[in-house]
Parts: sequence; C-alpha cells; structure tokens
Amino acid sequence: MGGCSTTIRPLSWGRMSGADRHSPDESITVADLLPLESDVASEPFFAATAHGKLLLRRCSAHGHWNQPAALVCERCWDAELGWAEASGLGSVEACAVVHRRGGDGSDYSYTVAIVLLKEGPWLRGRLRPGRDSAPRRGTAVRIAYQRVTGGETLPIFVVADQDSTDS
Amino acid sequence: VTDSAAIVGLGFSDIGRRYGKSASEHAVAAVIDAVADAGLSLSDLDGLLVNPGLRYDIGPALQRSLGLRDLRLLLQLQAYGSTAATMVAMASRAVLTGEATAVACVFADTPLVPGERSGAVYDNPESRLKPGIAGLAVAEGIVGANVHYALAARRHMSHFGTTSEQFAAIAVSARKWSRMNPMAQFREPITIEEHQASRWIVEPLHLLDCCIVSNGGIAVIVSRADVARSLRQPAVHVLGWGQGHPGYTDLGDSEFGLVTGARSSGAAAMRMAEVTPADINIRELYDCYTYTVVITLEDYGFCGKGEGGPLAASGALEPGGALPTNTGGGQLAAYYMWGMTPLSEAIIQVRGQGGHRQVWPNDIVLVSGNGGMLDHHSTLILGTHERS
Repeated sequence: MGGCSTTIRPLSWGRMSGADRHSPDESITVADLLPLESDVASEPFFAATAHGKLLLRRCSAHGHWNQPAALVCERCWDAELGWAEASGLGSVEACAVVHRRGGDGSDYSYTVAIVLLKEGPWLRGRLRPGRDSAPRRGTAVRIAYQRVTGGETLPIFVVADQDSTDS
Repeated sequence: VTDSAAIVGLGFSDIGRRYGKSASEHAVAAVIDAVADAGLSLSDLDGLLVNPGLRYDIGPALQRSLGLRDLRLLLQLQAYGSTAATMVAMASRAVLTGEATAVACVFADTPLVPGERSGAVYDNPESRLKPGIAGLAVAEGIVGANVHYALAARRHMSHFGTTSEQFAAIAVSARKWSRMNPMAQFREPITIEEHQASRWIVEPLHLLDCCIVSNGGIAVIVSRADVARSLRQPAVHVLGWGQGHPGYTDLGDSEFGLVTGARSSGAAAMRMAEVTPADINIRELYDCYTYTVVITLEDYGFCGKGEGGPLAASGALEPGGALPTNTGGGQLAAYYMWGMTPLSEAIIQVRGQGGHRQVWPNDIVLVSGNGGMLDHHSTLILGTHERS
C-alpha cells in the first residue's frame, strides 16, 4: 500500500510520472460517471487521483484524518489542514443500489456506498460490486481510479475479494 | 412569559399534481385562506415568515405580492423540512415579546413539472454537480435524497436488524389513515405484500417507502392565546418547541442513520411543554420515507433505540392503535408540503376537525420536522389548552 505520510505538508503530484503502481486501471470501470471539474481547492486531490493516489486532509494539531473536503478538523476543530496520502483501503459501512431509467427507456442499476477508510474517515462513492450487488457492512474494499472523459479521474470502490486486477 | 402563543389560522392552496400556478401564487392563496380561516384580514398581519422549497421561488418579496404594509417581522428561513415548525417557534416568540401580533408562516413550492418524473427536481445531477470534491459523490451517482436516505436506512437495518417489512407497516398504516382524509392524494389501501412487490427506487427503499411530491402551499397564522379567544377557530396552543442539528461528521463514529436531531429537539420541546412521551396523544412525524418514521419514533422516546421497526409492525401507529401516528396519511399518502404536512394535520387534530380520522383524546399533539439528509430537526408540542 502507499505510505501513510505522517508529516503534514502540501504534496505536489505534478512531478510524478503516470507509471505508479496504482495508476488508473482501465480494466476497472463503471458506467455513467459524470465528468467533474476541479476547483482551486481540489487541484491537489485530483492531481493525486490521476496518479492513482487518494489524498485525505490531516490536521496539523494532532494528525487527525479527515475527509477530503474538510475545512476544519472534525475531531479537534483545528483549521490548519494539510494533504496526506491514504492507504486506499477500507470497508463497506452501508451501501445502496440505485435503480434508474435511462434516456432510451431501459432500466439500469448501480451500487453506491459509504466506505469507512482504514484511516478513519468516511468516503461516499460508486462501488463496483462483486457477486453481491449490495455487499454487507464490513466487506473489504479498495479504491480504484477511473478516468472520465472530459473530467477529473475519480476514486471508486472495488470489493477487494473480487479484485483480480490488483497486483 | 405571561401569556402563550397559539396557531389561529390554517390555509391551503390547491395542492397536488397541479400545474400552471407559480409558488408565489400558491403562497398568496394559502395566506389568504389562512387569514380567512382565522377570521382576520390581510391588513391584520404584522409578521411574515417565508420558507421556500428547493427552487427558492418565494422570499421577502412575498410581502408585496400580498400587499402587506408596515410589517415588523419579515424573513425567509431555510432549514428544509424542519423549517415549518421553526417558523411557528419564531412567530411564537415574536408574539410573546410583542415584536408582532399576527404572524403568517408560509411554505410553497412547485417541484412538479408536466411530463417529468416526480423526483426530477430533487435528483437532477446537472443542477447539483458542483465542481471540486463537493461534486464527487454526485458525479459518482449519489444524487438526491432517495440515495442518501437509502444509505441511512441500510445503516439502521444493519445495526438494529430493522427490516423492509417493518418499513412496509409504516406505509400500510399511512394508507389506513389517508383513506379518511379527503385532501389525501393516495387513498387506496395497500398491503405489506404490495409494498414488497413495488419497484425499487434505491435499495433498500421500495417505491412505497418514499413520499409523494406535490405542488402547492400551506400557511398558518400565529398570534397570542388571548387574541385567539376572540377569533373564529379553536385555539391551537403552542406549548413547546425545539431544534436539533446533529452536525454529522464524515468520521467512522458518525451517528448518521442511527440517531437524529429528534433526540435533542424532542427533549427540548417536551421539557418546555412539561410533558413526556407518555403524555402525547397524537404524533405527526415527518415521513419523507417510512424509515424516517422508524428512527424518529425511537429518538423521541416512544420506544427504545432500534425498536422502531418492531413498534411499527405491531400496528400501534394505525387507526385504533395505542400510538396513533400520521393521522392524515402524512407525506407518504396525503401531500408533500415539507414541514407543513405534519403541522397542518396536527392543527386539524387539535381543533377536533379530523372528521372520520379524528383521534380522541387530542389534548397533546407532537409535530416533527426533518430537513436535509437527517441534518436538521425541529419539534412542536401543540395542545388544546394553555400550559397551566
């Protein structure tokens, strides 16, 4: 797994090559992700996802891990947050299967989840399920990274024991 | 506090799958109806509180739409479905301090558009996709209340063993009540089996776990109890109020889906009214989803944590049951006017105007409001008599 940085500093992913072990894997795809633009605050986050890394926020006071959009530490209210690389591992806290009707009238469904990351925060997102479309609480997942045409690379969840592509 | 506040007027616009009127027109119609119901005229109003829906179509400019002069209290308020009860609390404080004497509180929205799905305004990704990390969940398909409440319901199910059949009991009960409500949009009875067979919206929520969506407006008029005595309708006394906003974190020990702001909001309102859950005769609970009723019952203390599902399945909430709840059919079956749905039915019940669905005794009625993704909660305790 990627190193869990304990030093709180801004990370620059601009210099990294695209050949990291966790680089976006085209074999792991889910349909219908929307192209998402970055803003100034999220540039480091999406620079990292493009290189197959998940960044979270950590507070300078205690090193508490926070979700990537946090502006203030949710544990201690420290307002000085830096980026730090997370393991990209976690477990399903809750999942749901969304049923929709497409523009062509055909029905489709997909799975979303709240994932408890190994570092402690929650992350909500798309889950590529295995055999079970709604895996149970506690099911191990890892983050995969998916390129979306016209937008940033998005982190999605993959059920770990279904994951034949992991090295 | 030497006197108490009372709700003296209740008004409706033409509510339902009604097209062709703006939210402002619905709001104006509702306020005019509420003023007439009270036996007042528009010129008697000196306060106006406005809760817009998601489209934010009504605001302070509603004053001029109604031709109101020299208001002493005017605000647009927004904490979504929890706002209606909070408007009544704010209006009650205003009449008790003398800041105003007759305050109209109004909600109106027109989310239904001809030819579009009911929920379109609530889950249209194009309108909700913000750039940056704020848009991450939406870009990945977590868009709209249905998805968030499904995740919350799943968490409750996995922690406490709550089942879809228990959710179904809430939906079945709502139709047993709505059958007796001439204003209800859905009055046909349903069974547990029909609930289970209804299509998935977002698993674990079936179609029949989800509220309806309505166009329309509802208004109430708040004044002092001594003023109420000379007016047209039986006074509905405002005995207690509270709010609760948990501020769920995105950390592993978050109580999202497990405990809501009803716990602190209900405790505050009941403390103020000097009542306990056992004193409540009727519950009008915000029922955007069947699950919301289950967790709200628990957090108000009508049962233990995790026991809301079995309580619903016992039939206690139905007509003739020990804990009559959502006596007009609520948002699941009657009409979806955010926090005005439970509030309006509570007023009808306290007045004794419920017709075939009237519950006796009706001395103490609890009203809940719930907004956002369980983020905001408000409570009112209403009664037939002033607090002694």
